[in-house]
Amino acid sequence: MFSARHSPVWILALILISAGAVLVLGFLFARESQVVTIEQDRAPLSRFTSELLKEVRSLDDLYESRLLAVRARIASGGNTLLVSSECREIVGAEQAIIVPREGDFVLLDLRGADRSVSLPRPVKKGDEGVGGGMILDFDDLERGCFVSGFQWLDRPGYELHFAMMLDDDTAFVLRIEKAAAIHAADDWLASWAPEVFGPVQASGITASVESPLKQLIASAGSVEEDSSPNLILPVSSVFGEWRVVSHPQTEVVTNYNLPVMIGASALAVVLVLAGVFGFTQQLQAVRLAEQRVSFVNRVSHELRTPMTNILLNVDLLEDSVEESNRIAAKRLGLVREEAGRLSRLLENVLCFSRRDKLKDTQDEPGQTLRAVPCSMVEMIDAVLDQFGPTLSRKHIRVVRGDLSGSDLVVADRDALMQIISNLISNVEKYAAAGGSLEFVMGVSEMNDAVVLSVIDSGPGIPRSDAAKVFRPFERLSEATKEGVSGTGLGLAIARDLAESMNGSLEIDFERRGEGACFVLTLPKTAKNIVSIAS
Amino acid sequence: MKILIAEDDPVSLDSIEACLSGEGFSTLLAKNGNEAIQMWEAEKPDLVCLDIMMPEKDGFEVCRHIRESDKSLPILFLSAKNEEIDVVVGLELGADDFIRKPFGKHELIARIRSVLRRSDKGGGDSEIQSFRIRDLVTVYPSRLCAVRESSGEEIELSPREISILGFLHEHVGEAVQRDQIFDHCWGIDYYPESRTLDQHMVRLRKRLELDPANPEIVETVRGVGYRIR
Repeated sequence: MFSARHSPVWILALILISAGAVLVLGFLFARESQVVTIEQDRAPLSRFTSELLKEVRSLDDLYESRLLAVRARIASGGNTLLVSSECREIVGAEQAIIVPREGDFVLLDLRGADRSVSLPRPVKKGDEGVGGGMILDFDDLERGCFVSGFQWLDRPGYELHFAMMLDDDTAFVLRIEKAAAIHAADDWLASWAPEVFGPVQASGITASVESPLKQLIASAGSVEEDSSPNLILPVSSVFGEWRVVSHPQTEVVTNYNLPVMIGASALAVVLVLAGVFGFTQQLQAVRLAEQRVSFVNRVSHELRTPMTNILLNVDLLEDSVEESNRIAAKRLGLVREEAGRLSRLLENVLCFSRRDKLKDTQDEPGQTLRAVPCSMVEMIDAVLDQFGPTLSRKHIRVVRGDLSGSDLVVADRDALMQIISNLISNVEKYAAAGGSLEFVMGVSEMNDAVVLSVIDSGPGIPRSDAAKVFRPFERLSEATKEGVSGTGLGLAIARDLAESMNGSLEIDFERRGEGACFVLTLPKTAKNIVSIAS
Repeated sequence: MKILIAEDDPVSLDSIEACLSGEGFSTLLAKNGNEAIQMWEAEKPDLVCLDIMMPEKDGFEVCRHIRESDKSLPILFLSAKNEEIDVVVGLELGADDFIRKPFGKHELIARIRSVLRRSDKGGGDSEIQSFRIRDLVTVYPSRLCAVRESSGEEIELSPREISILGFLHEHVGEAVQRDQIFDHCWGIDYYPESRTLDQHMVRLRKRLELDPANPEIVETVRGVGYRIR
């Protein structure tokens, strides 16, 4: 009843958490990331490229002029020794080939000490496949050198060759190792570039300069992985192509989808509002229920004093009624019975609310019970005294079975009386008129508890209803007869009280015969009960 | 045997008074805590019955006040308060027992009797010696009971019943007149109805005699009164 007080808070908390989750999810869904390319000023890069072009061209020119100077000297001197020594001065020159108009080629190996790999022999036209070298034909060379006096021979599958005419009948061809020439050029450019590349670096552009051999000559900025260049500027020479490569600069921009965000926020707000509304409604309902319970408690409580006055005066009146006045005595007896019934009802209602309050505060109910040694038989007699007139009026026979032996239990007297009283009241309600009520007492297997069985001759309790019987406010529909009164609290309270005193109250289904058998077990010695009286 | 009753509900006060005086206890009545303390100081009762919720001073305060100077006086709480914690508080303050309302006359008398028996003070007037009637029962005024000689069974008696038995025992063998019994046991100022004594005697015999129809302990002397042989 009271424990429901906490549930609205949980419901509200859950709704608020859900609202938060909706909001977070909404924001996550609304988020969109985009990679944006940053616009760059490419002017410094263009300027650098044109400078590089100039430099590469000047290197080409320098190389050519060197070759032509060698030709001039060979033409004036002419022997092979001179040719060799002149040509060895030229970077990358591997082989000199003298091609006469008529007759065989003269080959001179210009390499230094390492000649382990033999160079391919050039072949004449018509002899293809014989030497594996380039096909050289005097007439072709003469025609090619007709304009400028020299010719670059850069044919696919062959090394670079430079041809020039020594005289009308002799052509001179140099086989040049491209890589060596490029290395030399790279070395030069690497020392040249830093100064010229400076403005590019300063501009923040991500760019690099690569040689034909993929050597990095200069770079600016850091290139992101997986990024492909957005600009390649080639600078060509006879030896290969230098490249100025620029990569785009990007940044990730995060945007939020407004409609999704508004939708999520609206949903969250609706949830919160619904939660708060539900919470206040629930709270109000709980408060109302509490007020009702508290009202019932107050009323029950206020009824105690007038009930006492009625009971006391009925007793006084009984004392003064003459024995011969049977009608008055009978009526008074009825008033006393009803007053007793009303008192038990009050006690049960108040006991139940007390139990609920204790459960609510998580207190041990045992702490407030006053356990003292008391005689079970004495308690049974005391309760039977109260019920005597009612039972005899209903012709319910009281059978006192085996009540001998040790009957001392450690229990709260009032609580024990209430348990027995609730059990007898149950019998009185459900045992048929003319039936019986039997008490049998014994000890537990461990001999540490007294076991009292209260057996009636009523319709009995089906095993399936075992749990239901001890639930507050529950009444077995099939067992409910017309005219049977009660709150449905008696057995629930009886079991609670028994358990508070380290005992138990069960239904014995194993017993043969008709009727219900309630078994109350209470310890002989105090355990965990705070005994104030002792 | 003087019992102080402190109770703010006038009907309860009157009813409890009627119950106790009917049993032969003399009563002192207080309508609130302050009155209770004044009467306790002035009259020194043998037992105090306290309601908890009272104007001016509640029962707990009265109990605390009494316990400051008297540790042994039997104190009994009569309460409509529901909370078990009140029982604990009451007992911790030094009360001897706690009767929850609603209660009847028999429960009230039984609790008072048991508290009196448990207390150091003893039950009835301890100066009155125990006496034996016809080798059948021995009456112990200090314990408010009689013990049957044949079985050892203990029979609870009220102060009034002890007073009647004592008076008849003093005049053993004589037929004692009804008026004499009234004057001695109820007091000269008391104007009883004629059947009051007879009813007392009926109830006494029910418990005392083995066969109430043929009494052996107290005989009826027609036209005069009663006699112990």
